Amino acid sequence: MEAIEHPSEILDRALLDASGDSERFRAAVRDWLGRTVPSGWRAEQAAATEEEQLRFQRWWSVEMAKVGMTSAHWPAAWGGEELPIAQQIIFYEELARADAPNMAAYVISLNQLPATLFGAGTQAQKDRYVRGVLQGDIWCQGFSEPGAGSDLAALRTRALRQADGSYLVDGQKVWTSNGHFAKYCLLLARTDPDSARHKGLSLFVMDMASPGITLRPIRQSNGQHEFNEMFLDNVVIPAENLIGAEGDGWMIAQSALSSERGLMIFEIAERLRRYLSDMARQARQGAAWWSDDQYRREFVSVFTDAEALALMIRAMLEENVEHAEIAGQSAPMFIKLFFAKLLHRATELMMRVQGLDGQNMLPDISTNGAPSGNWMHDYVTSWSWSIAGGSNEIMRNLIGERVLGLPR
Amino acid sequence: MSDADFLSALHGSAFDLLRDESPIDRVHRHIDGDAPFDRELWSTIADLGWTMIAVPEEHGGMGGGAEALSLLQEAIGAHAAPLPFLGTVLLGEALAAWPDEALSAELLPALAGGTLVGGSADLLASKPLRLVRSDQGMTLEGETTVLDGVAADWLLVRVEDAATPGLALLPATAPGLSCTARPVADRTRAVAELACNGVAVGPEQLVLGDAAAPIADKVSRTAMLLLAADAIGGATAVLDLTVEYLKTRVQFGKPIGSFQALKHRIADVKASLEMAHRLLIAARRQADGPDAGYWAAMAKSSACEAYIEVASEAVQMHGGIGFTWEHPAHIYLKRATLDRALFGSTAALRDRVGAALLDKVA
Repeated sequence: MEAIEHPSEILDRALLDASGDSERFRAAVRDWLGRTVPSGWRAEQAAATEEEQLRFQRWWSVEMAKVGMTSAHWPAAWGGEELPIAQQIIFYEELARADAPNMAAYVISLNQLPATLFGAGTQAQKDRYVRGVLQGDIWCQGFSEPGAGSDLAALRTRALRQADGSYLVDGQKVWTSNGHFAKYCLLLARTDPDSARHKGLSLFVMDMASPGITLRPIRQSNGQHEFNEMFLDNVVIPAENLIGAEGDGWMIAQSALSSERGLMIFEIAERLRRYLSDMARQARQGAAWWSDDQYRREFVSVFTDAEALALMIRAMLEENVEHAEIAGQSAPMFIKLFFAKLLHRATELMMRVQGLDGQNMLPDISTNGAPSGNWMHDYVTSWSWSIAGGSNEIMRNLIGERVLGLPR
Repeated sequence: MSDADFLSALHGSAFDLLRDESPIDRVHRHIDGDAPFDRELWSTIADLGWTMIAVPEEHGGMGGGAEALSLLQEAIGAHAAPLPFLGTVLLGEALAAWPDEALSAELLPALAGGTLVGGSADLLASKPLRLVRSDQGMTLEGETTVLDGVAADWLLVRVEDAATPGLALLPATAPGLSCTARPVADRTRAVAELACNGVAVGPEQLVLGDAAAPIADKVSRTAMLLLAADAIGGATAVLDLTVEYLKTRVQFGKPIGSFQALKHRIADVKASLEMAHRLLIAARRQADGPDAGYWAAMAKSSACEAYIEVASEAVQMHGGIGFTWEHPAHIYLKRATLDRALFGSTAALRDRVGAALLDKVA
C-alpha cells in the first residue's frame, strides 16, 4: 500500500473557513463535492474487484481528510475540527444529495477507535493511531464470537499475560467487518481466565499483520463479503497495546459505543430519504405505482416515518451539544430500533412496487447498510441494521428496561 | 418571559390543572351521566384564559397561535377531559378570518370569555348543507355532523350553493335547526347530528366560493394539529398507565413486564410514540409556515396511529381488567378512534401528504 501524506500537511481550509455561515458552508460543500465525486463511481465500483474497492475507499477517505471532513465530527481535544453540529448535519445532507461515496470501511476508525483511545488510551496510543486514521488506516472490531453474539459478555477468547508483559491471545472472533482490509483490530478478550461475564475483560490494539491471525471470509446474503471469521492462534500483543487497565475492557468498550452520537444513522437516514425522494420524483413523472392507493399510502407512511426519524436525530444531535451530560440516554435506542424497522419497510416496499423488475439483484458496493436505490439488494441488506450493533430484540429489552423501567 | 418560556409554563400548568381538576374518576362520572361536557371544568379553564388564547387582541383575546392551543389540547387529551375545547377553538379560528367583521366583533369577545361555546363540522369530510335561495331570502337544508355541537351556541358548517362550496355560521337557537347527540362511543366528547329545515341565513353568515377555501384550510390545519396533540397526550398517558401495570401485576411469580412477549411490544409502541411526538413538535413550529399543512397532516396521521396502537395494547396488556367499563383503557381507546376519524382519516391524510410531497420534490 502506497504511503499517503498526512492530510494535515495538505489541508485545504476552504470548507472549514466557510463553516461560520450555514449557507456559505453548504455552497462550499456542494462545490467541493461537484469537483471531487467522480461521475459514475457507483456503477464502476459495483463492478470492481475487492482491491479496487479498497483503493477507492482509501482515496475517498484521503479526499475527505484533505478538506478536514474525516475528523470534522471529532472534538478539538481529539485533534478534530469540532465542526458545529448544524454544519455536520448540512455536510451529511449534501453527501446524500450528491450521492457521494460513504466511509463504510471506516466506521470503526472514525467513531469507536477515537472514542476508545480518547476515553482510555495513553498519549502514545492517541498520537500514533488517531494520526494513522487520518492517513487512511482501516480498523476492525474483534468483539463478537461464535458463542457470544447478543450475549457479548459470554466471550471466551483469552489474552494471557506472559513473563515479558506481552499477551498471548487464543480464540475465535466472528462478524469481523473489514477484517481483510484492516491494519488494526480493537480486540476484546478475557485477561482473567477465572473471571465470569463482563469482569476480567480487557481491550487491546491488535496489529492485523501479527503472526497467528487467520481470516476466513464470510459471504453474506447480499452476496458481499464485508465480514470474516477470525482465528487467533498464539497471537502476541505487546504490553503497550493494552488500552486502559486490565479488567476495564467492558466498561471502556461500552462507553465508547455509547459515545457514537447518531451521526452515522443520520447519514444513512439522509441517504434513505434521498432515494425515497427520487422515487417521489419518478411518481411525479408518472410512475404507475403511485396511482395504486395501497402503494402510494404505504409510501407516504414510510416517508412520514423517515421525516420523523430525521427530526428525532436532529433533536438528539442538538441536545448533545446543549446538554452533553444528559444526552444520549434514550434517544439512540429509539433511533436504532425505529430506523432498522423503517429500513425493512422502505426497502421491501420499493422492491415490491417494482414487480418483477424488483426481483433483480444487481451487484452493489458495500455501504454500511445505506440504501443505494438497488432495492432488492437494499432489502436483503436491511437486516444488517436490525441484527448488528444490538439487534432489534436487544434494543427492545433496553427500551423496556432502561427507558420504561420494566424488570429484567 | 420569552415565547418559549411562556409556552413551556402554559403546558406545565395545563397538565397540573387537569391532573387536579379532571382526575379519571371525575371523567368516569361524566361518561356515566348525560351532560354534554363538564361545565364546571369549562368555567375553570375559561377563568384561566384558555378560551382567549388564540382570539385576536382587538376582540378581547391574547392573539396567540395554534402552537399554544395545541399544548393545551395535549393536556386535555392526556386527561381525556370532557370539554368542547376543539369545537370552540375551530369556531374562533373561522370567526377571526370571517369577512363580516360585525359578526366577529359580536361573537369573539364572548368566545374569548368562555360564555360562547362553539361546534364545528369536519371541514374535510362532513356533508355540506344545501343553500336554497328564494324570494323570501336564503335558507339552509339538510343534515350534517358537528363536533362539540350538542351544547354549542354557534356552529361552523359546510354548505353548498348549487355546485359552489362554502362555509356558514349558525346560531344553535335558529328556528328550524335541531342538534341531537349522536351515540358516539367516545363519551368524553359530544358529537351532534345537526338537522336544518328551512333555517334562514343572512349573507353575513356565509362565505362562498374562493373566499371560503383559505378559511377552511386554516381551520382544518388547526384541527389536525390539535387532534395530533390530543392523541400524543392521550397516548402518553395511557402508555404510562400500562407501564405501571406491567411493573406491578404479578403472574407466574414475576411482574408481567419482565416477559419479553409484553416488554418488546411496549418498547415498539414507545418508539413509535416518540417518533410521532417529534412530528407534532415540528408541526407546531411550522404552524404558521408555508408547509404547515404538510406537517400538520403528517403529525395527525402518525399521532393518531400511535394512539390507537398504544391504547389497544393498553386494553390487551391489562387483561380482563382492561376489558371492564371501570378501567380507563377503553376511554382512551374510544377517544383515539374519534381523534383518528375527525379531520382526515389516515388514508385521506396520506393522500394529502403525498400530493404535497410531489410538489416539494419538483
